[in-house]
Amino acid sequence: MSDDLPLDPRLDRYRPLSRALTAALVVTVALAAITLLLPERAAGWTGAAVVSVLVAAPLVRVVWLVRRWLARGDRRYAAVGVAVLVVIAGGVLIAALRT
Amino acid sequence: MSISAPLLVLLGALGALVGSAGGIGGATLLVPLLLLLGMEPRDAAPLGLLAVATGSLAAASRQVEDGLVHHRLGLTVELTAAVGTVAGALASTQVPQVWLARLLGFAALAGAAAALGRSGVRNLPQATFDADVGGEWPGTLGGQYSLGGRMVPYQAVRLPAGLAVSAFAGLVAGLSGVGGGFVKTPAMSEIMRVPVKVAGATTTFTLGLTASTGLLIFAVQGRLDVRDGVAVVLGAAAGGLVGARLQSRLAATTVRRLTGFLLVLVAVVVLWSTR
Repeated sequence: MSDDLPLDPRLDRYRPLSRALTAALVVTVALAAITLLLPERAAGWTGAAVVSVLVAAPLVRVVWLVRRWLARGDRRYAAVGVAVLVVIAGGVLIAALRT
Repeated sequence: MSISAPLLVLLGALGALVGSAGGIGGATLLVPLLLLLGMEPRDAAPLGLLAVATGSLAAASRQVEDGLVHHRLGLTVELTAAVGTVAGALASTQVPQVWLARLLGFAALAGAAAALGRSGVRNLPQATFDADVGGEWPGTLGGQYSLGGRMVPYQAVRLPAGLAVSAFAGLVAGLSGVGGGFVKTPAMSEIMRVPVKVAGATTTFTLGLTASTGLLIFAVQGRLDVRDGVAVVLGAAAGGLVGARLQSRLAATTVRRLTGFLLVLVAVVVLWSTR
């Protein structure tokens, strides 16, 4: 691309998402490394934090996408995203009720 | 049987590296290896899903920036996959493990046949799109991606068949903890006619959701061993980063062959363990 041309805004459309995902990965790796070094009792808390970040990252990603698509009028795929989150929440609820 | 933390780090790295490069997830290789080392399937499944979640997160940033992930397509197929994952995870304590292992082996062979049975590149660059940027087209299941500096347009087809196979992949993931990428990527590529690199990256995105669903259910069931889990997470983070770089640099045919050969390897290992 020539320097004279304005930067295509679509190149940056997922930049905030990309940065957030990188930050989540850094936090996950740091917490995982700390967990391996800590004694058993303390490691339980940091280990749980590792799992929490890993579980939350893709769910937050879907929420971010849904908000973005809603803001741009893409209601069909925003609804698909919400439906995926509802199925996941329903499954966890059923598992909790059966335990 | 207990496996040492350094070995779990190594296995997690190896699984995520090949899984992210081939778009089949970090556990497709890891779980069979853990079973071969003597771990119980019930214990290996949560570790597999932790590797899948980590590999997906590690590869995500690179794949998003390269415009390879089709989020709309990923969430659409994940709708049925999530239902399958929930059903599989809830039923996982009832199904005989030998049945599950054979199911995994034959599903891996079918995926390998699909990946290796085709030669050449289906989606070719079109000059009309060369001035554009890679990514998904808003409101559709189509998009374009960069191949050697030129833009390749594509459009997903046969959505009902793709959704059905995705539900099966989710079921396998919930039952076994392997993520189901070895079913999803070949299905998206061969049934829905999505370029294999886009299929691999989109599957890697959806595998994060599949893993989240399974991990939440396993956590509720009290089946997560955090100490072993973080060792796998450390390895999978490194493997996922390298695998994503490899995937964006390799030719589409190379990625497809890599996926096919990996699946044959997985099928042999899994079926051997049930003899």
